[in-house]
Amino acid sequence: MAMDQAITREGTISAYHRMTRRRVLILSVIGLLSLLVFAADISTGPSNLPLAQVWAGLFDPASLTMPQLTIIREVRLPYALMAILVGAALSLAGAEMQTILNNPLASPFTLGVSSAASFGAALAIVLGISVPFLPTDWMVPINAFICAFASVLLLEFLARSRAAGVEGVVLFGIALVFTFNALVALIQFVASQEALSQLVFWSMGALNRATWSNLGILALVMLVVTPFSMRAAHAMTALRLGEDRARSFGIDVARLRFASLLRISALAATSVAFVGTIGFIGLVGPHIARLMLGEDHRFLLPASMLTGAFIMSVASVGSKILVPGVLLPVGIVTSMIGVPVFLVLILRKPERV
Amino acid sequence: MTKMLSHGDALRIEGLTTGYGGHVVVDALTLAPMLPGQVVSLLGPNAAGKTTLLRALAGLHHASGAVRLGEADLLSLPLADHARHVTYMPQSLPQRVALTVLEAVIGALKASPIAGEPLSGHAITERALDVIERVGIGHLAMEGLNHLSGGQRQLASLAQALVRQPRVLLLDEPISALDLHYQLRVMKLVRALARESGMIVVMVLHDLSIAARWSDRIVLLSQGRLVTDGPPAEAITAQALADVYRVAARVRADADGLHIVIEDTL
Repeated sequence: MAMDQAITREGTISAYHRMTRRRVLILSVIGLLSLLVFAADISTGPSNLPLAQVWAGLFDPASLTMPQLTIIREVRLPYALMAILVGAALSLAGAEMQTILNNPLASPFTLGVSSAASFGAALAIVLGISVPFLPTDWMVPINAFICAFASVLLLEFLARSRAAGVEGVVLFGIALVFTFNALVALIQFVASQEALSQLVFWSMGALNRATWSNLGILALVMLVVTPFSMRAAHAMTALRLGEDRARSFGIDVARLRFASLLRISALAATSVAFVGTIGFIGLVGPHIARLMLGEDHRFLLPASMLTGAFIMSVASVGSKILVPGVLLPVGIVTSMIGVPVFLVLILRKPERV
Repeated sequence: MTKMLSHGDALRIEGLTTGYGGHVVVDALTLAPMLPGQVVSLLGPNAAGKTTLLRALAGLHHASGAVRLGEADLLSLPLADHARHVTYMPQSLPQRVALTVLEAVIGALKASPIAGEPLSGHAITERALDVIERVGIGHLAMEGLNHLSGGQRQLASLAQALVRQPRVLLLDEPISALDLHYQLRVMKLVRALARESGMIVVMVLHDLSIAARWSDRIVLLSQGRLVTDGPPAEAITAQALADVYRVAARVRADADGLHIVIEDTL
């Protein structure tokens, strides 16, 4: 612990400012990359419509035929926007979950929140069971939200009880995944042929249910949730220093947790309701963001959203070009990206996160 | 809710009872008022209730009785108001955190409003760096907490508590991971800060000699009850050590301070 006289205070302050500038730069670069992939996303697809024509369709509709316009307006654009929004939503949910549960393996998918949400959604889609008097568009997301919130409350209860360590919570999450997947399978078993085909494709996670009204609902949820997340950024950064310490710094940790779990449920449930269970975005996005920017949540949260949006867009492009002529469910692609990362996280030494 | 505290406010603990889930750890403890600028060390064997007492003073778990800082009733203050006056440094250190020392100290300052005027971003950085330099890790300010040794992380943890400039500073074994040089450095710093600002420091220590050398007062606890309370030379006696720690000791006071030699277990 020898004093290194070479490091001056001025040097430290300028290093700190450099670090902040670097973070803003990284954020901008990920944002820019996401935009580029978004452009690639709206220019790829089974129908041969390159970027130039898509561009023309957006700003000079008269230059294209009616079917071409329909493809752009009802398929390309909503799918690509849905990829961006779902990626950002799941990744933000994952980042908050990892902090709140103090668990690097936490994400809506790995701990069963997505499975719970898909059970709720399946209830509405197949059996029409939901809260009475809801508009039809909201039935599926509200059902998904109720089940997702119940599952995060269970997780949080377990995370706080002294019996379960970090591993215990992960194992419990896996149990939730199995339980809700079995329940969804049960619903599939009794479902009609038509509902079944819809459900199967959706449970793999696919963007083909993206409509403008679904997009509007997800965008609305994110517009409401994100400011609250950002307002809690300081508190979440302090929570990373330890729960006792955070409380001694005046943070009502119980309230912070509860509010965050509400946000996580809303984000995960709305995403799952519209695109099915998308694996690993909520795990991989925050980890990449953390590696690049550290855990100051003022940067970590937006960076997680941008990284999630980026990966999801890449997966969406991949789902269209990996097997020529076939549109793969995007959830399969995200799992192919996510599983190796998940394994690396499990296998590496616990000290080095 | 928050009352203004004048400089001369003492910390009064009267009939404090606290524990975990029905199990009483500290039982109806009353201590003489702790005066501004005083450094008070809590000593006692394992499970004496030292940490529990500190956590109750920090507002971290439920307690009955009275804890007053001047006129303010600390036990009834909401956490955010409590945190304006009192800061607690837990024994456990942050694990696996991707923050630099400077970020962590700034984070401690920004977590909730502290007493006094709101600080500008520049002032926050300056104040954080002041504290980091005073605990002796100025050269590590931009280092990640993950890359520090246990002792360095303990110093960073102390800086997080000090930066809030509380009226009452509660330290749970603040020097347990430090080498000899930094043990003395921290004790000197804490005492100097108490003298400068009138801060009341209450800390849990294990090393009798260090506690005797740097504390104004020693509170010796055993099984949640007060054994002795007073200046080091009065509180640490051969008889008290025999009663509390079950050791045979020789204690001699002279102009250099208190000399404690532990000879054997009893």
